[in-house]
Amino acid sequence: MSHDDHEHDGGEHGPAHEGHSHDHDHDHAHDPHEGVTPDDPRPRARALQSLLIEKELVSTDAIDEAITAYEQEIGPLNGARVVARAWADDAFRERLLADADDALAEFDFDVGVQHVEVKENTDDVHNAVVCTLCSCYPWSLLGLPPTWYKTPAYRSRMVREPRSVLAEFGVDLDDDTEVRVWDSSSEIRYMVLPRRPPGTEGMDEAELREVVTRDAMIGVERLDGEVTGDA
Amino acid sequence: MDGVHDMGGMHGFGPVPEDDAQFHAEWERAVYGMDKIAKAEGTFNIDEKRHAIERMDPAEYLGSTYFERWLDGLERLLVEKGHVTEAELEAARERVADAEDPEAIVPEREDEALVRAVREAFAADSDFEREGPDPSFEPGDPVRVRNDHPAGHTRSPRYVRRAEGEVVSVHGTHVLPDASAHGEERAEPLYSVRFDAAELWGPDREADDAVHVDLWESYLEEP
Repeated sequence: MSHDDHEHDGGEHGPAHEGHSHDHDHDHAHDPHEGVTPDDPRPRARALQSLLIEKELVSTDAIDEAITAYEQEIGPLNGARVVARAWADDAFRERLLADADDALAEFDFDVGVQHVEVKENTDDVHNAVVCTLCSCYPWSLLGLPPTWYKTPAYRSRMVREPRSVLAEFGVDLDDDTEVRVWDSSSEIRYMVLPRRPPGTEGMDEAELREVVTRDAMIGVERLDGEVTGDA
Repeated sequence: MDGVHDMGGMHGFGPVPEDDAQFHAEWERAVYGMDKIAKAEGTFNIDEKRHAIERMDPAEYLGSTYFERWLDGLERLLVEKGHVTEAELEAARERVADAEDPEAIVPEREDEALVRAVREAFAADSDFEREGPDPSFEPGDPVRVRNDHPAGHTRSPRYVRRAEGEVVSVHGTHVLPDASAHGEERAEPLYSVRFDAAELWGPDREADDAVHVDLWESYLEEP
């Protein structure tokens, strides 16, 4: 894999509210060598950008707007708000599982909604989301996907050997727990409703949001048993 | 198309990399931004975009990072849609080739209307449901995925073709990607179909788990 030569932020699967904290790094800051190598994608990308600016098809400020929206404003906090409400309000949870499009209409997200279905983890069922054909992901609820979600390894293996993949993320499931993988082959976007962890009984929605992680909503993390009383 | 993008069930890719980053470099942000602007301007639809990436040279596809694939698909679409020519792209690349910092040679341009268009596109709800024929299958029905191998775009993954599953829900009538990627909008009933791991992977299955795939009516037949 050619990802190895890229700098990355360490692969910690952090809480939802940390999803907005990525710093802007710069090409020249992250490349230890001056100039460019033959297989460096930068010249090709910047050539296209220059051409499209000359043709007035794109603009500096519109590119910045697109980046700011998804890198700083739209993130997994949207999904965490939904999960927190589902944990706190049984009637909402039932509406969410029966018709997520309808249930999500009561939120005022900074982004338009996609067709969504929410799959609930239970004592017997663990759900996880993948897109084997490309990289479909519930952007409106979770923001931009992390790189690992888009890799051939995750896309190829999640449908064939989900338990092995989940084990790599630190999720070990009992043999009697059924794994249900949702391959996002249409414009329906899938999100997992994790089980509410023990120890969170006294928390309100705002506190519950802090317990939810992006990875739990993709289905590659279990919150069960993680008592976060100091959240 | 039976392309290398259709990765479900392939062996050999190794552990999932611990790479949590959304972007690795500024040029990736620029590619993402250009793509979103083109999408906001209606330059192409999502199915055309996916099909453009699928047509990348398979060896290059596997050797590329995610945003390199976006860049490749974006160039292909812009040429095919007549917005730029190969010659213009080549000339632009030659101008950049000698630059020590490729980012520095990109001219600045402000366009408030384009900023508004991007904002409005992000704020708009996505709706792929359309009027169309009534569904032939209902929840609980057994179905088999047709053994079709179209040369064009399809969202019927290879690993479920010829496999039998069960309809678990009907999503409604949705735009058919096989048509939409090739300039025709047509809708068909869309189903969530459950496949047992034993049906997909046989005796080599990891456990008796299940995979759900969204499949359009024309992908399916009665077993």
